Amino acid sequence: MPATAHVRSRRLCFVIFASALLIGATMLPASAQKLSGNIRFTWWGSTTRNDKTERIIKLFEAANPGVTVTREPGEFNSYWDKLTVQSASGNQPCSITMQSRYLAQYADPAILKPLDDLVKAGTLDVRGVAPAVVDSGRGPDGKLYFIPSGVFYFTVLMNKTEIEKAGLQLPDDNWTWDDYASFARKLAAKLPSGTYATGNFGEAFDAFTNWVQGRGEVLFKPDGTIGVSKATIVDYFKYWEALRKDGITQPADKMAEIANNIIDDTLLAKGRIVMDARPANQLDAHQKVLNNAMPGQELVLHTYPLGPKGTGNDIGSNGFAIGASCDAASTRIAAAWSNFFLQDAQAAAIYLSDNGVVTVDKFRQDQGSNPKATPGQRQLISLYDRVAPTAKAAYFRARGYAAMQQSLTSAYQSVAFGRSLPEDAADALLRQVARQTKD
Amino acid sequence: MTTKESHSGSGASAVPSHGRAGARPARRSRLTPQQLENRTAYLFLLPWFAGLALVTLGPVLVSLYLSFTRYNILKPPRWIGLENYIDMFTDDPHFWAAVRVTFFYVGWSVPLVLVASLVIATLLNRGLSGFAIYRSIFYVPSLIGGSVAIGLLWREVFGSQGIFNRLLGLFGIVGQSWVATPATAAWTLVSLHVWTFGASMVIFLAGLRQIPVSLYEAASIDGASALTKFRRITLPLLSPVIFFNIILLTIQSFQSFTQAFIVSNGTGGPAESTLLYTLYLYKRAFVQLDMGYASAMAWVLLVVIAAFTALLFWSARFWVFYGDD
Repeated sequence: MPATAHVRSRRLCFVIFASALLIGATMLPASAQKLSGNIRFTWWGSTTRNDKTERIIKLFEAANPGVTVTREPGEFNSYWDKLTVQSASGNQPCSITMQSRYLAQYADPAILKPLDDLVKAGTLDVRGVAPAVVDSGRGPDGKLYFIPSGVFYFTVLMNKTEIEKAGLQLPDDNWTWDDYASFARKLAAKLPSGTYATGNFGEAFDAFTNWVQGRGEVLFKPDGTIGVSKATIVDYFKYWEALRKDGITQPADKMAEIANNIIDDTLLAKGRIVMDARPANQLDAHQKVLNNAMPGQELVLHTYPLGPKGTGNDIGSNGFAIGASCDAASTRIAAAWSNFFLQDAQAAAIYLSDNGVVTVDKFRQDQGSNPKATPGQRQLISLYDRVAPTAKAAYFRARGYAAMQQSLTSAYQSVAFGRSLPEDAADALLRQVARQTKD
Repeated sequence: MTTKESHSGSGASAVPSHGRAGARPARRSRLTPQQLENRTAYLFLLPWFAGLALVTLGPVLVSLYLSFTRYNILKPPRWIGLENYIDMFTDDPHFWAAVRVTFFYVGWSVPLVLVASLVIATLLNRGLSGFAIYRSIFYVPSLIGGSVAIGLLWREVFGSQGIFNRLLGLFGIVGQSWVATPATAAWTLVSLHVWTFGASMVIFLAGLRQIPVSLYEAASIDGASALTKFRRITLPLLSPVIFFNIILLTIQSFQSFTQAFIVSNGTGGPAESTLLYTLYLYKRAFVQLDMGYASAMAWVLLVVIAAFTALLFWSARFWVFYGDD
């Protein structure tokens, strides 16, 4: 019957066509295989960083149609609680922003995939990153758990405009903590009421780390025991209490109230504090808020004062880890995303070292010498070149960072609110850290 | 369905409708009609029982086991006997801080909520016009009061830049940050709980409605004042409802978590002033990954709540009148 023959021949054509397509598709080389699927990506940051990340994700999705990235931003402190709970149930995302200070807790193949094989096979692209920097992503067991994409260090952010208005000059690099206190006092005498010369660093963990390391001590010894002495802690509390009681820092309730991770809320960004302890890569984000609050005021980066034993500068890295529960296809996507973020010039130009000095050397040099770079950028990189050679990465055992940071906050708050003496608070701090890091 | 069953069952001998008479012996149903009804009821309840066993009882018993172990999720639990309980009572200042804050919170919010809801319910019961609107207005906070959004709002309202300080500013008082000062932080939590008195109020209203008006009329004839009427008629007849509300409020307050977590940013407030027991439990479990200790804390809380409830039930015989006595 003519109709059936016609249909049969059409069906035959279709079958031949489809098989040709299938055979053609399976013969594609693996590297040209299009990625498709969805991964979840989690990071921390405030609005500026969220915007930049969003733009980079859109670029990545445009370059890889068929891939979608589920955004899971968060706030720094609760980020780790969330990640812990997710990991406990195997529900952690595929692409995880990881940090060297927290790594010890998650450096376990049950939580994060060891990446050495992927790097060796070239799936993860670490060209241009110095080997010593890549090594900062290794856990205590020596396996590589995250690819560092940004190196951070800590500074004192200063409001240059207010300092010069008070008739003072920016201090030099070789100042000590005593110099800091006298500078702050001189400054405070000239400031209007309601504006404070310095933030209270009593519960600022980054400043505390610097203080401890500047005295030649360490927070945690390599074997995981506590390395800081009671005397160091007591001196630290007494130093800040002296400044607080004289009104050089903001009052205790304002210190306790503002979560310093929300840049938009900090007194520094509102122009009500002249010097504060912040990570160096946050200058631009603070400047943006300050421009709205007090137009015309300029923030600059400055190194911490030196301790009796020299510089106490700490250094660490942020980067991309891959969750252990990620399947093979999603791992490829996560690796492609990590490579894109790290190596794509456009992505680097958007992000501009927002979460730490970019680890690819070429981009760092470009950003440092770029005439169109923002002041925050330029200072971040020029200061990095001066800080990095002498900085000592503080070692944190598993749960150590969270334990120390929480214990410092609760100990200093009890002193600042008049509930205990510095000596007792220091004892309580050491006991609490010991209890929280008991195995 | 049930009626049909009971009909065929009550006969005890089910004569086949189309069989030859006497060809088959009569089948006796082994179950009485009551038992058949019970069996159906149990079948309907089976899903709920399964849920209770799997989702509630099972985990509760597992947590009892875990309370005798050290367990950080990432490694299997390790038996340590009573060490968690001993540490809790002898070596943990945060535990006692949490206990103090929780007793403060329960001790103030339960009476305040009771008084507020009883007073408002009594006032509303006078039959004002617009009664339904007022009832809704007072009830709405209890619907939204447990939400994260309200917690965040409360933190802002009582912060150093909040509306409360602006209000005080109108009277020339310079306010501080009420949520970030240890002396006042717990009070902001109590005030939040008291703000949600609406649910208890609605229950009191229902209870008040059940008191016969004739009693009040008789008392008026005898020349009783409003206060006497309240003391001698309302309170005694309302006592079962008061009892119910006290138990519910106490159990709820002991278990309060969300608002303390939000207002203190998950930290337990400046210098542990808002460290409610459940918040400390959460921190031990999910921040410090000490699941064994947290399970021990959970069981201690269970025992304490059970003890308070038992105490309230025992005291009930002295002050709760069920009307037919």
